[in-house]
Amino acid sequence: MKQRLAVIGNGMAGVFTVEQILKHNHDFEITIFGDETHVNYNRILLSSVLAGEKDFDDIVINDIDWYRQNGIQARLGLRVDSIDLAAKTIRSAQGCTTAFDKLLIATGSSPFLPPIKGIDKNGVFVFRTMDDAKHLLALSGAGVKAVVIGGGLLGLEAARGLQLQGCDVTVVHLGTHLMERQLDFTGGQFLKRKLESLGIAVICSASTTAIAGETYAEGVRLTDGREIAANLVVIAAGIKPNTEIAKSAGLNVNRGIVVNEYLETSHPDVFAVGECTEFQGQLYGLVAPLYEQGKVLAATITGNRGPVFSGYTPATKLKIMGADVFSAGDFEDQREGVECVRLEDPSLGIYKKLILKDNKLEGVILVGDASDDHRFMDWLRNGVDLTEQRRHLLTPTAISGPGEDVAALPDSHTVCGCNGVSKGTIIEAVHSHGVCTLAQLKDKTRAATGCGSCSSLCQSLLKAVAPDYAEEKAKVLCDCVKFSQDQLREIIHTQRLKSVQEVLDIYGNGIGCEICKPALSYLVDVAWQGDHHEDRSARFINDRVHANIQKDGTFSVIPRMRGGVTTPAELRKIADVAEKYNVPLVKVTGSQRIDLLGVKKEDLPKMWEDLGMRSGQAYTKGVRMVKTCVGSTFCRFGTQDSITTGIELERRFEDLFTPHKTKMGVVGCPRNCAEATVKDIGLIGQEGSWQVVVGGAAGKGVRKADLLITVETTEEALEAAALFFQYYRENGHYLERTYDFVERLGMEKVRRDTVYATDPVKQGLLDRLDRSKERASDAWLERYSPRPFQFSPIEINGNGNSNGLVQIEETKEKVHV
Amino acid sequence: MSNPQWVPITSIENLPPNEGRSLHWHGLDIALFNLGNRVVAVENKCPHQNGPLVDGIVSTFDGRVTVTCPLHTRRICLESGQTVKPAIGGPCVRTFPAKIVDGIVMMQEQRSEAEAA
Ligand code: SRM
Ligand SMILES: Cc1cc2nc3c(=O)[nH]c(=O)nc-3n(C[C@H](O)[C@H](O)[C@H](O)COP(=O)(O)OP(=O)(O)OC[C@H]3O[C@@H](n4cnc5c(N)ncnc54)[C@H](O)[C@@H]3O)c2cc1C
Ligand code: SF4
Ligand code: FES
Repeated sequence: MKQRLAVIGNGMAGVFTVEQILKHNHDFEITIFGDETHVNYNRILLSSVLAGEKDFDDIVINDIDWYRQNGIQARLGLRVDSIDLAAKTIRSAQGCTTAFDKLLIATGSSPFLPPIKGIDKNGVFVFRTMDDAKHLLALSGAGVKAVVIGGGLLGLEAARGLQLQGCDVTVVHLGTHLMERQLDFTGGQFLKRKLESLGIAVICSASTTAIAGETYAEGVRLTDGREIAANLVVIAAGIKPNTEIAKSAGLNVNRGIVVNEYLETSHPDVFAVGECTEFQGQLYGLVAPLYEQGKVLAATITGNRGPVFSGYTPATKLKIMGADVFSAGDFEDQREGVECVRLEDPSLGIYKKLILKDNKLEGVILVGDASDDHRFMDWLRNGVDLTEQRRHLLTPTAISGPGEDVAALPDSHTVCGCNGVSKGTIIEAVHSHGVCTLAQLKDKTRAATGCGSCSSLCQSLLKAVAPDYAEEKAKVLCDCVKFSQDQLREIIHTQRLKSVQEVLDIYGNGIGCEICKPALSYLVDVAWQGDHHEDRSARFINDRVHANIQKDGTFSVIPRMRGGVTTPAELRKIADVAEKYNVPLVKVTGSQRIDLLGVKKEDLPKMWEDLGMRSGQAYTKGVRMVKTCVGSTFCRFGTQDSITTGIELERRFEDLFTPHKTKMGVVGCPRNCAEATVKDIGLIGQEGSWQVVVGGAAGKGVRKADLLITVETTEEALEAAALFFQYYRENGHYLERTYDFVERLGMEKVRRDTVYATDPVKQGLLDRLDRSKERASDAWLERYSPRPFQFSPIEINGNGNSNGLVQIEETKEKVHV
Repeated sequence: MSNPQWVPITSIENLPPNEGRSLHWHGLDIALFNLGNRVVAVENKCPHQNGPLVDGIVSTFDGRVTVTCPLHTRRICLESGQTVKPAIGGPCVRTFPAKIVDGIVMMQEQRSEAEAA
């Protein structure tokens, strides 16, 4: 008969252990109890969800099908109340009883709540579960004042997340410096300055006595009498293991449930794993050691008792871009016989400290630059003798090619700490499964699916060992110019090339084609902010005649109609023009404007003149439109003036070119009537603030835009949009829509390089946008000076009859003034 | 019938470099391309779905100078009139002899469609 295995806790360690059990030969009937209603998800990434980088769906590890496919009963939303070790049953809070043969306790921990008066007020939260994250997301936003109590890893990630949602954030920390379990005083100071430069206020050595306010939190009161205003308070003051049920069942429990090196508890049929355990007096609060425990336990419980858990040197990495922190081992430098090697660079905000004993690394702290963390981790884990490296401990020898530093790592080196994936495993995946992209690697090995901080190391490894990876990176524009777009951008800048032909002559085959010429046209335009030599022969026909070619060789004319707003007079003019030129089809487009289709090329300049409207750029890779809803102008739900804002947005960006077409939307409330969440740039009004979202589309694929930032004023929203717009112009590949662009770069990078960049960087983007805008003009003004020969066929006076008396046509193109 | 006569069409200045310009002549719709030191002329009708080749981008394929049809990016060899991309040896468009003499574009006299029929 099958043995019944009951698992209490549907969290990271418990389910990981079950995954490992499934890899062994086993005959368990498995039931997992979890008091959260969600399927197994990656708790670590709740920080990314709060920061708006990931959706809840993105962080699910095992969906419901996984449970079904593996014959696992999931009992979710059910809290286990008690364990009867004599009867071998567990009882849930709802009163049902389940019998087991073997029991696995993986209850994790709960947030520690310090004795603060009024901690039960509305607006006070903890940050541990998906539900917590949902509540925080629902209440955060521009203008919200948030206080985070606790300056450890969790508190700081919560603080950054809330700030990205638009809150004004203050961190109140009891200790003398931030992250004191991972950093020394100096490290804590460096980190504090980093966070302050990101706009997060930090108060150290501050003890909170009470939450002020009636039923709702209004502020946080400190022992020194200060009160900090807050409508949202997050308690992140540490965790305590969930051991109550184990304790009352009579198991041996100290601070955690006591386990031995096989993860056995004091009862032969009961095992425990995760944050709820205590091993040799030690509690663990990071997944890497817990996963290690899970592997050992899976062997033990399936009758393969042998592997042992022998403790672990966990490494901590703060997942806040721009405030890199890495810490591992024992960094205490006052101990007997230890030496300390340090580097401090206050203006760069970089602090590094190594603790050595007998020429071996015992501890490391990195703040501000954690790029070479894996080197130190390797020294630490493997007890490498550093005598030979003494001269360049903190300054790695220059890396000459990609992957050379990773080449130096031993195969046993753990690349992904969260999932315990070694360099050897990755190389194996490349060689035997042909893995050559990060996505495939994640799929095959789980590397980089935890906190994600090893992604760049994984990538350098792939670069170094996967033969196809190099090719993928070196993707060339086309056969005419065999360089990647990034290289070409660089070449155009450094070699000061201002025309497509120059690039083709020097770096290509001199002729080009329909793929590279339009791309190069864009690259030289944006590189020189419009101050380039425009070569129309390198442009697609649409960009030569400023209209969209149709299947029969005629063209379509879409005038600009900012924000989708028009007037009776304008409509009358459009009607007149349509009749005058016998336009076969007049149609309202999907982008809130009017299309005159089936126009003869020769008629274009005259039509533009008769219309007297601006070009809608519907034919080009450039600024299309800003769709708006009526917003607060008429709508009873409108919270923001979407029409005025949309028109202004369109006015600021119109006439400019972009890597691919750029579509925008502005809506007055989250009902989203003009579909701003599926636009390249969207502004979503809400009471007292705007959400600026980017990277959305509803074309070939549908992608919901990502939050760039939440801001209070319209001007701030327009500026955030401008920063992203110019950043996309400068860094997007030609024909890359924003939905691919943000995925390629990652939203965190996009934010860091735009709205959270330093002031000079932001100013640079805005200045370059202004320069381009000054040089740009409405394409349809060419009606006053059309390019010669562009619109009309060659005319031969006489009919070219056989006596050969053909008059040579003068440059007789019509010039309209 | 004797060799058709060369007739002057227009000054080369009236053809923008590396671009096409159309010519209606003897009931034909012709696309003339100025390739710098020479001109070429093909019928202005893509063999695929009659796309206006004159509006295409001048390109190159396997050493041959081509024009890329603006509608669905087929590449047509400007010398032979043959479609070379997506597949070499695709259907052809008519080509017409053309040359530059003293800055004047010359073409050989055509019989009109009607006469030819
Ligand atoms: C005229 C219009 C349809 C209409 O009758 O409403 C239209 C017509 C064309 N669209 Fe569109 N799109 C039109 C709105 C849209 C919309 C709706 C919107 O903008 O809100 C979308 C989905 C939104 C989006 O892009 O995210 C849309 C998604 C596409 C796509 C798919 C883009 C993608 O990356 O997924 C293409 C193909 C492409 O760009 O590669 C496309 C391409 C085209 C082209 C330009 C195809 C072409 O290259 O010739 C069509 C031109 C037809 C013609 O003969 O003139 N059109 N197209 C709309 C013009 C809007 C305007 O006023 O400028
Ligand atoms: C926001 C955040 C960021 C983090 N970042 C990192 C990081 O960057 N790196 C890192 O290594 N770690 C990080 N951690 C810590 C990491 O998530 C935990 O170490 C890990 O989740 C612990 O796994 P566990 O299975 O022991 O506990 P959990 O994942 O908490 O799982 C325990 C589950 O058991 C349930 N449960 C408890 N009691 C009962 C009961 N009586 N009946 C039924 N169900 C019960 C709980 O509700 C929970 O769902 C982070 C944690 C948070 C909250
Ligand atoms: S949906 Fe297709 S057919 Fe319709 S306009 Fe867009 S591209 Fe043309
Ligand atoms: S009509 Fe020329 S490619 Fe289709």
